[in-house]
Amino acid sequence: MPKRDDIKTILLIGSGPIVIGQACEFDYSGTQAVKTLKELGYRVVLINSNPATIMTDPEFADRTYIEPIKPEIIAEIIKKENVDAILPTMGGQTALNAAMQMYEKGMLEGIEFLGANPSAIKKGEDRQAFKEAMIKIGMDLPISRYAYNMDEAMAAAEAIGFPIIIRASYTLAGGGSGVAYNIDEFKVLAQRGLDESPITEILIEESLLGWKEYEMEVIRDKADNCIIVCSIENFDPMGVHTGDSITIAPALTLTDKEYQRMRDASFAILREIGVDTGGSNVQFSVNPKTGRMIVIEMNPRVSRSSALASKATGYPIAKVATLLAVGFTLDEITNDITGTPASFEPVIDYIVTKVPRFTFEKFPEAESTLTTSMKSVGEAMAIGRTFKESVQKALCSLETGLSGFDPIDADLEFVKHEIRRPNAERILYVGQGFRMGLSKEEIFDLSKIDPWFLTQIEEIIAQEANVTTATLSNEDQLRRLKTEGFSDKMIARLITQNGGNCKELDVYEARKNLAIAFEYNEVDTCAAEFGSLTPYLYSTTNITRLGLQAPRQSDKKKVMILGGGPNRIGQGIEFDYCCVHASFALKEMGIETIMVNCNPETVSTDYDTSDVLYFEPIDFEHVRSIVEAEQPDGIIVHFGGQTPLKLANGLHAIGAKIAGTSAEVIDLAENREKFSAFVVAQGLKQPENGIAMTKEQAFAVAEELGYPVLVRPSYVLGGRAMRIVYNEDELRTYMDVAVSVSNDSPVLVDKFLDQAVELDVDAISDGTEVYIGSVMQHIEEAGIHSGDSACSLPPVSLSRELQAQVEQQTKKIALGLGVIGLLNIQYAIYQNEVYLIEVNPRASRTVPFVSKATGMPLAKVATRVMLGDSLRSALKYYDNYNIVMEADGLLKPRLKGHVAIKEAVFPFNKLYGADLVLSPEMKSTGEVMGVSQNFGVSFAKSQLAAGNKIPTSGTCFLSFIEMDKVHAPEIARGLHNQGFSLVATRGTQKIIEAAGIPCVEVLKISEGRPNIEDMMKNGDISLAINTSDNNTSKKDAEQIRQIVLRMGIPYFTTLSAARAAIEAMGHMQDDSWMEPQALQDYLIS
Amino acid sequence: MLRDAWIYLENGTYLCAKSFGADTTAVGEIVFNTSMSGYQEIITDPSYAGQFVTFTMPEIGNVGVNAEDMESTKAHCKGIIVRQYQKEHSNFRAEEALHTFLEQYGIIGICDIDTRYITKMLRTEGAMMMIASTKVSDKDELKKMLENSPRIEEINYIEEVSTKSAYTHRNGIYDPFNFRYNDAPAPKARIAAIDFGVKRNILNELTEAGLEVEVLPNTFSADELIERYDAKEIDGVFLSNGPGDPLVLKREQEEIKKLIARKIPLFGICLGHQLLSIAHGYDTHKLKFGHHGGNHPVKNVKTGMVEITAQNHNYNVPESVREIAEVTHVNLFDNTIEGLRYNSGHVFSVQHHPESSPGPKESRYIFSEFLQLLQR
Repeated sequence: MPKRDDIKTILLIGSGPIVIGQACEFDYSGTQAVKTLKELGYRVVLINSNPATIMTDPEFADRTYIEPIKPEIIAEIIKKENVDAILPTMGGQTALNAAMQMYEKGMLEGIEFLGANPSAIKKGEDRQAFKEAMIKIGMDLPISRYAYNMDEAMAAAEAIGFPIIIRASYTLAGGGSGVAYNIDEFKVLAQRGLDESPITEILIEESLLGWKEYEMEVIRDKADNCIIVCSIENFDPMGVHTGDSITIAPALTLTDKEYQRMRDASFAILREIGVDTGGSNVQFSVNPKTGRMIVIEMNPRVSRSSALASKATGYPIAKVATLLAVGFTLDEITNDITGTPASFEPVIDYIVTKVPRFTFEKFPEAESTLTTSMKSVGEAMAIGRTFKESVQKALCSLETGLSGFDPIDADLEFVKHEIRRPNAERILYVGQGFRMGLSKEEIFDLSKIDPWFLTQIEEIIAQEANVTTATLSNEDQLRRLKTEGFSDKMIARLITQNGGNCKELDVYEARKNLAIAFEYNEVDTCAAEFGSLTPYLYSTTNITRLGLQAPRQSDKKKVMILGGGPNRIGQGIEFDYCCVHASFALKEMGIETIMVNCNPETVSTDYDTSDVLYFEPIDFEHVRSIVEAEQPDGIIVHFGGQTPLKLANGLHAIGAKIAGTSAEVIDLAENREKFSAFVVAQGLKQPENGIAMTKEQAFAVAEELGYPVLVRPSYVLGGRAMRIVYNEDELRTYMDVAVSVSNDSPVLVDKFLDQAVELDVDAISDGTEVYIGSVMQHIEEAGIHSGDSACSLPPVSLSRELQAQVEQQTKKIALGLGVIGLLNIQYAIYQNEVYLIEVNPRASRTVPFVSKATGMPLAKVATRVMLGDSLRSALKYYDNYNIVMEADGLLKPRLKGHVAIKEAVFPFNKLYGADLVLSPEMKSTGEVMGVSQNFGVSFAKSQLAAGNKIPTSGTCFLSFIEMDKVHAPEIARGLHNQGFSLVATRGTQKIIEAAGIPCVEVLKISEGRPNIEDMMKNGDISLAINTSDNNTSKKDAEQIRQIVLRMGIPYFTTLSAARAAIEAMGHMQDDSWMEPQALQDYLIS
Repeated sequence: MLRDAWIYLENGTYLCAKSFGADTTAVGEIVFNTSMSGYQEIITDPSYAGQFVTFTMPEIGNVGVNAEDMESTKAHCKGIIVRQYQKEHSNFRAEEALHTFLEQYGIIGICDIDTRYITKMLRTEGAMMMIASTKVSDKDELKKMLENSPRIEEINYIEEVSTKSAYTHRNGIYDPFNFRYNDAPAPKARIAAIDFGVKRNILNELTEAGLEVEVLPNTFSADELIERYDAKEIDGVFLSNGPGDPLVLKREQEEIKKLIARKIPLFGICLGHQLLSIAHGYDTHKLKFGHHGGNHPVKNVKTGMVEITAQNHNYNVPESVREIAEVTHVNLFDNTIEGLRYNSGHVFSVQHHPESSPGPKESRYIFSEFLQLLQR
């Protein structure tokens, strides 16, 4: 059946900011969906609050709304744009929940649901409805009961017994879920689940801890044809969320009878739930002893697993689901890769391993045990011909410094403990356990990881003792090691450990001599049964000696783009955005594009994005091999964040051509001494700084600079382990931690410019001229990492003069350094002087935001420049909205009068225990944008989009640290004028009262009852302004912040954010501030 | 544990590898199969007699072997070729390791070899003969041995795999929730099933559908069957799958012609489907490298639905058979004919494997259609 003609305008709802459990995969699916719908001739309207997405580029959809994803706003858009149908299945839980809320409130009369209907969504998401549906079709379920309050919950726990699992309904990524081993834990988790579920419903279930866990990615079309795209087996047994588990495709420990049983069940479930068209993820558990199979849950929408399944098999689930949603059947759709119909099941002849990426080091107070509530921030995937090759490659892809099963320095008891306890490093502890003599049976008893996987790891570890200098001339052994995924680095380490003296490059040379090199196989959906038309490649070392593969020829110029690897805090979708833009720009220049990345969630690893895709770890060994296979005319290392930048020198040394800004310049900017010399030579100001190799040195430097000082290790991203210290004691404590963190490499000490205003500038230079992409002002004071700070474009309180100085300095630096391409500079305005904080000769994470806010796609322009175009010509090519103007010897954007605010989004609600205090160490996972004609409304929108809606009335709780107390009256007055009642802790209250503003004292938690916790739990507090600094870990303050998080009370932790909120309130007297406006309209004016 | 092994292919390819299973030399035709589960069922499928099966699924042996997943009484293929063999299996149903199982049946297992390379070769050059050995390593010697061995077309493997004596099948299909085979339900009709190398699950499905199935050897007599049909002892005849080229089975073709002439209700799968076409006067031809896998889309022409099917065939019926039969199923990968209903009204057949095992189960309804035909 051809596509539906009765609908003209389709609204796609995006997934909002990147959060734990819902990340880039929805930009990937959403972008595929938008592309597909446009190709079919539909008019596409898009709403997504996340500017760091490809889908929100103004050229993508017909009408793009970067607005908070809320029912009222969506309803307005539907009216404005004459929307006929909505597609809510490509935006994760966020989109689905918004659509369901609207449906329940009757806001979608006459609007059609595509991709999933409300009753199917309900049956899939509502635990009770799901349970009933499963019982109806005879599926086996865990023994369970649902509860709507604590009494019911306690009764259920009594009946079922411990350990017990709690699952909350309608939450994202297992939010509000957990495993309880005793009644105390149960009480905490049950309460949390009830709080987090939008319908206050939790399911209390028998524990299936230790059972095997599987996922099936299924697709159904309207003719009732069903297919399995991919089967996935979890390495971590039940009890760990699938997003936090190491997972493998295809399933490896099922007999055909068990597999078909699961397949049939998946189809029956889809049919019963009523997913008419589209993809779903169904999760099963199998008792390893008895084979009993239980259904756990299903997601009636495209998900993180669908992205993984699409990348693992080459089958584009989101694209197909979109076509199915508008009326096609599976056999009417063509599989791009083979040219045959999409109504088949992909078969693979390789093994895929996905490993989750965590950032617990940034949240030391958070519970790090992995449970049913997801905690990972990203993932990496690796493809190999065998499980061993795949799993070792996956560990190398994580960007955590691993070169395989790296050893862990710990005693046997601790190792056993960490094998039993699901945690981010468990697989390494398993390796270590084998190394220390534990048997497979012992490790199985501790972990319940399937013995098949344990055997593989045992065999890997068993090889280690045999790796000696002789290996380098033993073709058989070296080849075998490589086929099992041993990296050159690991082999070098083992040889050295076993008495030799070997470096990574020695192993490379040895391989070269023995003609052992990576070969590249295609991901072709058919295990080579048919020829494939799409070059999507992975590396493998062949067990059979076949002769070296010849370099791939092309009659076009080729440029390689190195991606950013797995998402983690400090390096996420923003860099992927730049890489994708680079690919688009190169294509427009007629250049063949080669993308290299190992992140299955991103648009960059969509095989459609580039001409050739290498799904590979972004480390020197693998990248070098691709360079040899492709011999590209240029390599872009500047768009994937720190990951590819680190490789610049190495690549340059082997003669690879780095496009744009050279390796030398990159090095200069990162090297403190060299850069300081440059700054001095240019006559610019930097905060005074020094380097320390020892504690004593650090004290000396700090003394000289004068406290407060900013301390950190060098060469980082996301400012890891950065701290502001206010005195020697704090410094002493920090040095104890920092030295172990930085592994004896120097610690940098900067004079900290207290209360300075921070600016972020993105610029492009072609060596002769400079374009100032934007000047953004951080709303939070200096001291908060720029990635965590809200920022405003244009600046909200910067004088013309200072802005001009900043622009001129930027020009000086760009030309002085010799930047060809993008440049990001952070400045601080301190006592009316401009100070240089940091210079990054690469794309920054603000590029997508700036591109949307100004209408000039910076990464695309920079790519043209890096490949030889002049800046003016490159700008002209992309100047769709008449943006570029010339003034003061510079090129810059003509701003159209709107104000765009970028606000960061934090994972505190997922990392239970983590404190929500901001610091120089980056903690945010994603961002949202608020845009309107004025600062106040934009700020209001940004807060709404970030889940922190500013209230306009009620009672506000205030508590300021000593340093900030002097500003308390100003804030209090502003709130009082808005009509808020005020309560505050003693110190703050006194100052406010002294200024003549009514404010009631409230007790801190430790001071007695009733206290602030009681007020908050009673729902009496509608806003909390609680400033702090990153040193305060006073228990009371921390506890208050925990409750704020749990109760979902809007909060602000800095004075400047509080001021912005008060200004926003002024515009929020009625609902007109929520009026949505398409991005295209802002840019055209 | 892994011995050295060498293989030599008809096209001159000579590869070194490792081996598990029997310590021997074997000659056969090499094909590849893309199924990602069910290696035991494939290895014990009599249709693979005379062939080496290359598994594109790289990890094989993971779940061991067990008594219930046998598709016949022994393993019939000449050997298997896999990328990686893992001798330590893990599955609650496993009773034995794959390598000891193969040793028991004298079958060679080749591993540590690039199966993708082999698959691509077969895809472009077609199925070919090969020799594998754990004893002979010299390329020229292997070449000579291969050249002196009979080609697959020259051997009638049916003789080897067919049952020697008649018997009645006793159980229905496997219940994967209770892990046992169903008892045979009360039969509504009786059939003779001619065993050309029948897969056990076909017999299970026929029985489950309500048929009492008497399995007869390939040496069956059409006259005898016609007599029994007239005496209402049987209601129809089933022609099974089996190894090899249907064109060489001259005697069987003649017997089937008699059954067709007598208008006995007939149902055939795979080889059976091919024999019916030949018996009707439409000769089959050989495919380049055949269909072997569990993911082939077959469209049911009447309903328009797509079934994902298990396939294992090297030959196909010609398009011209449309002169006397309606095409009921079509392969969506290459538009070849997958199912026929002859215009005479009493004969139908399918090329793919509705009993799967291994493979997807959406084509099972065909067995009920046979019962419906018999009840008319």
